[in-house]
Amino acid sequence: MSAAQRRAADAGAAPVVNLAPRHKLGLTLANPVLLAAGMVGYGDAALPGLTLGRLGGFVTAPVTRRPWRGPLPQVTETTGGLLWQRGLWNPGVRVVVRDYGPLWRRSRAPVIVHLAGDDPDELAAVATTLEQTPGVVGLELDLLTPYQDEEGELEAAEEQVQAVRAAADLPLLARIPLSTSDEAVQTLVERELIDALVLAQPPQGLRYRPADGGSCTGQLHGRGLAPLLAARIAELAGWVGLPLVACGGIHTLEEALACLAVGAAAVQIGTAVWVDPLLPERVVEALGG
Amino acid sequence: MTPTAVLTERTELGQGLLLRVQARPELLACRPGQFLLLRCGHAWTPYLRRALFPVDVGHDSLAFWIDSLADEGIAWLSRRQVGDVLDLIGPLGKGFALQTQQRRLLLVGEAAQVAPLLALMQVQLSRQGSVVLLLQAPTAAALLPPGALPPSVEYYTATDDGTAGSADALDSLLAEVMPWADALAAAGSPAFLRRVQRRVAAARPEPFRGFAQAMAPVPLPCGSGACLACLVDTGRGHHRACQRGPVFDLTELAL
Repeated sequence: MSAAQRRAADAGAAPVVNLAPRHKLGLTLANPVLLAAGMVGYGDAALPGLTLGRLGGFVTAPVTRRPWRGPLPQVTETTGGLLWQRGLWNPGVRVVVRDYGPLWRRSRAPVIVHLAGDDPDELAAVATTLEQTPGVVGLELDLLTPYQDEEGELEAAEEQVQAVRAAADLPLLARIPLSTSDEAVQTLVERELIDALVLAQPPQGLRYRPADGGSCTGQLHGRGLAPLLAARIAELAGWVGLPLVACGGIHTLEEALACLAVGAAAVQIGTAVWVDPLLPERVVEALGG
Repeated sequence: MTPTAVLTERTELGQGLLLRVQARPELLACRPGQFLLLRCGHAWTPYLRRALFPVDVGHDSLAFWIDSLADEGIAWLSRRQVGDVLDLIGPLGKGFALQTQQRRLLLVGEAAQVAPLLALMQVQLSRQGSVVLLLQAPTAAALLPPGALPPSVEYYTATDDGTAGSADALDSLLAEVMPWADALAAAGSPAFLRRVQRRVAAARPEPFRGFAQAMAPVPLPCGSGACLACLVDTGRGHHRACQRGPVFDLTELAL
């Protein structure tokens, strides 16, 4: 827990956090506890016991310009976690705003919309629509991918960010892979492309099925990621001059507090809320909220 | 774990177990076809909660029949003893809807998925309605024992190995009972529900909406509508079974 957060906890109030101090609007949240992208859909999919209004905010499921339908989503359990093959399933920004915009307008929890896709024009079109949508306080975008040529990728990322920036004057959080190099992070920071870094995109996993020789793949969510995440947050916190948001593997109060203690400005809780819907609120309470 | 129920009774029933739990009032609002989510221990393995369909809901308790221990989470539940606390949340989803005038209920299911049908059976009997239950199973041993059912329920069976009714008995039984029924509820695998769909179409070319309802044969991993693994194709788009279902009109399921 940072000194500011400890002071706030001592004072009996959850620490207010600004995830976009460089942005003219800022992104001030009542506390540093958020839900990761898609964990409550578009805010319409919370289990009993999970009170969104108590949280710092939530990140929505992905939104693209046009409806996106692919293979049917699947969830496969692994030891201590799961593989989630969700794809970008969504009805497109127009329908998302029509169906969930009223919910976001009324929401006590600030809404950060997760943009999906990699075409700058498409991203810009989505951002333009979202900027005019009440309740939306920020955007989150996956930048870079693991195992690829970082030079070319950084250029593509810059194009994507600039397109979104030009289209919408909303704070922008970039979710990057855990394996992103220090050099790439430094470039993102130096070019002032983004307001906060979210660590990390879920890694890809595979589960082999001995019975039929097939396999299931998907984004890996589970407890084993928490120490990896804490280690990377600790490495970056010393020199990255942007708020870091810890996202991935947090399943307990202790894991959330550990990320904050080593330098995260906020945490995003993931699939753990499907099992323990009271966890986010316990973290808020532990921080004095 | 947040304890919301206590195991009070644990008895063998057929190949499975009947578990009765004393539960918090909000859980007792679970209607037939709705489900509860059970957390299976502290260890995050198995990771996800398990969807459970009560077979009976009383004024302060509810009962589950678990008949297969193949799933790790259900196996965990089977090892609980009387006095153990459980972390259940719910009720979730939308269940069966029976109109007051629907008095003759035909239940048709595969034994492994019969739980929500048994809950509906209890409700129908409590309002003095009539119930016929047609159950299909691989073997006689996998069927619900007749003694577990109220005497007023007409019970017919079909088994893949012919030990309790021949494999194709289901089709003839359906053809025979369908004209009597003014409501049908089904639960089973996609192949089983397709079979029931064909029989309904043959017996009632223009069934009124609400005549035949079915449990969507999909997993319910998150139970909240977030994961989308329970998407159901209704021919007019995909819908989340855990929110709009898991009970759908049988005629709208694209199986």
